[in-house]
Amino acid sequence: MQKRPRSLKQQQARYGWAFVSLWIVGLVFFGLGPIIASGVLSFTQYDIASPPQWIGLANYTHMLHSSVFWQSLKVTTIYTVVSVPLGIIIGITLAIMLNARIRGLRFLRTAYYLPSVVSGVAVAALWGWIYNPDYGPLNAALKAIGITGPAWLESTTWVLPALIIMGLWSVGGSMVMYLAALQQVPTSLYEAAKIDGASIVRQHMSITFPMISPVIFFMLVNGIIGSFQVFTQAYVLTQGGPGYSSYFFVLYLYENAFEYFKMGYAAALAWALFLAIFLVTVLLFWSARFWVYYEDTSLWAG
Amino acid sequence: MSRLKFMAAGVAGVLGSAMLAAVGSSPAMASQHITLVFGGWGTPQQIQAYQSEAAAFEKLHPNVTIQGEYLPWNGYETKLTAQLAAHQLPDVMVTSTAWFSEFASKGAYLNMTPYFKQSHLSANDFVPGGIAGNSIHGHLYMLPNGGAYTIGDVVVLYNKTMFKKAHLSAPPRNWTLSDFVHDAQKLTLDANGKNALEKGFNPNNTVQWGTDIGDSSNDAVWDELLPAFGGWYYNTQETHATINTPAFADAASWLKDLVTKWHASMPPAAQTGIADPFAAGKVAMIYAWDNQAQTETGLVNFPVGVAPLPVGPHGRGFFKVPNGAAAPANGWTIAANTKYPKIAWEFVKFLATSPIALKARGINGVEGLAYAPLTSTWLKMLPPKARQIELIDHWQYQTAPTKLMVPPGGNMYTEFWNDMTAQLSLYDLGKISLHQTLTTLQKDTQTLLQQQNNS
Repeated sequence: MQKRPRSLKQQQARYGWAFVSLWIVGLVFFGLGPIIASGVLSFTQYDIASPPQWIGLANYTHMLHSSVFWQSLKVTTIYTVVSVPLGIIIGITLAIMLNARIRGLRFLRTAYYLPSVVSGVAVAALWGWIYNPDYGPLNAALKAIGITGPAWLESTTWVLPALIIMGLWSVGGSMVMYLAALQQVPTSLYEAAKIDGASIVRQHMSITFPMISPVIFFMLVNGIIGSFQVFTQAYVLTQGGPGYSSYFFVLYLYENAFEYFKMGYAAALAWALFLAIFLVTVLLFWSARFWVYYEDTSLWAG
Repeated sequence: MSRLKFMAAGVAGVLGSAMLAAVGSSPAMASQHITLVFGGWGTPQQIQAYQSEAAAFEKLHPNVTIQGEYLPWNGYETKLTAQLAAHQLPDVMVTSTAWFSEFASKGAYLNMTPYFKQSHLSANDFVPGGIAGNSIHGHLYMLPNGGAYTIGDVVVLYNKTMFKKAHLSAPPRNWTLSDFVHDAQKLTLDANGKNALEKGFNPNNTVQWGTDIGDSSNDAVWDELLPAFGGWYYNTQETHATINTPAFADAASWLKDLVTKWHASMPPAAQTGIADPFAAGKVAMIYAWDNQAQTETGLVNFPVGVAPLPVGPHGRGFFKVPNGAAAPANGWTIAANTKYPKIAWEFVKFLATSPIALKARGINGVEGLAYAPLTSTWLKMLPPKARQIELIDHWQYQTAPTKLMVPPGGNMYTEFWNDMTAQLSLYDLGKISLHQTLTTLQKDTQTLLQQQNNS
């Protein structure tokens, strides 16, 4: 019996599958598999060395009754609510400034972007020195103008603001995104607005922000996801202290997993984090229809 | 003796003889080349010490190669746990009291008892409690490598020069916590040279403190202070937390008063950037473990005195752990599934008892001295200043325990102490009341105990 020749479409499909097969294997074994496993483990008591024991919803109920869980959620939420909008405002402001035709533009753009490529641990170590109450340059500068600076990382009042300020160190990364978006805004819109007598502020409110709102939306979603996962600075600088004042959610998760070996509970925390991020992201996407402007309005068409 | 008992005794005797014979005739010491994996944590100096002692053993046993797996402290337990799960523990491990019981309960370690017996070592030659405490149900799982605080060898180290300047005499054997506070206040000086007992003393401009134990995160201080006030973290059955009690409240208040009321203890914030306030000449008295005593005296450029712990309302803060409940000292263990138990034992015995090993690793690589016959070698190795400490060391202050208590151990230890430190620092900073602190800690500790007992 003669084999039927394969159609071009079939052949292309085979090649397609062949090309993506490695990725699929990676996804199944290193992505999907661990995700499903963590879901199952979240219903167990598991310390790595002994086999997991099924305990039903105990990890989730313990989580809801744990004051440390709520404290870590509170710290993370405060950090997110303050740092993400602050990062967007500063990023856009810098981008608008660096979108102007001024001398040394290339140098300034590089200078602002450069800190965002430094690794988290190095940044944390650097800021540990900056915040040192005895020999850190920040308190030395404050002293020079007659202010006694606090022990930034040892104070329950100042530790979170200190970490938020430190988070702005990498604002150069988002600035580049805003800069690219700004350069896509047609200049004819500004020219028309000028002819109509619009002020600079009005131009930004009516042209700049709506035109770059898709990028702001993108950065907002990413910023919130990223800030919910903040870990390095607290792990390196404060270990969550003093007294849980900088105890971020992921630090709580990490300690349960790798210091207390409560893998089941840590998996439950990871799923709780996923749920929180998912809900916030859904909310943001819902809100986008009210403030994000796309020239192609069919995106929101039902 | 009944016939059944007689037969049982006979079977046990035959099995025991066979076991000892098997130990003796193990092929491990044969001419085949053997690679032993040796795991340990430490500073670069300690890791260098591990390498030196491994090299010394290789020199004595040319057919053995010691392959090191050395890590810093952070991450070492995590790695060991993963290795335990994968049945790939190193053949010989440096083991901490923090996880010894937990690992032993999971069958991680080789029972060394037959090897110990055959080697004719005496338990009396080891640090008190070192062999019994490292045994569970009569099986020895770890040889100690130093004394540790859990057998009551915390002492007070003091700066003799500061005492002399303050016109204070050496603390007597029966000094009390009140005497300690008095001396600490007299040793606390502001920039104008006034001490904390004098009128006009400025606590906001302190340049020298009497002590630094007011920092609530010091587990050694808590372990010793709580019994002195008549309290403990939980009951002896480890079923109920006993933190929300007057004794615990008294101890917590006393520590806070030391900083905020009597101004005699260096606040934690002032310690930022100072790795060792005692060695830096910032504080006059510290609670120290025996190994720290030797290290400190090697570091400092002033004469150091040693005093016993002050006596509290309920006596001195010594406590003792029941055998097997918690290890009294860090030490060396052998993986249960090692292919070479005999040579692994030889290596552990070498590390614990050989003067060659002691000399090879030097004084930076050890936690103190756990094996009495090495005392003379040990003394010769110590710098002159440290020798005076050794002569009046913790073995002298080792007294009969007043209570039978188990410090938090295993996986619970880290979580318990992280929570203690966090909650007590909030109390120290005035952010929460003592009542809130104790209520929260009571609830958290009770939850931990339940989890531990259920696991």
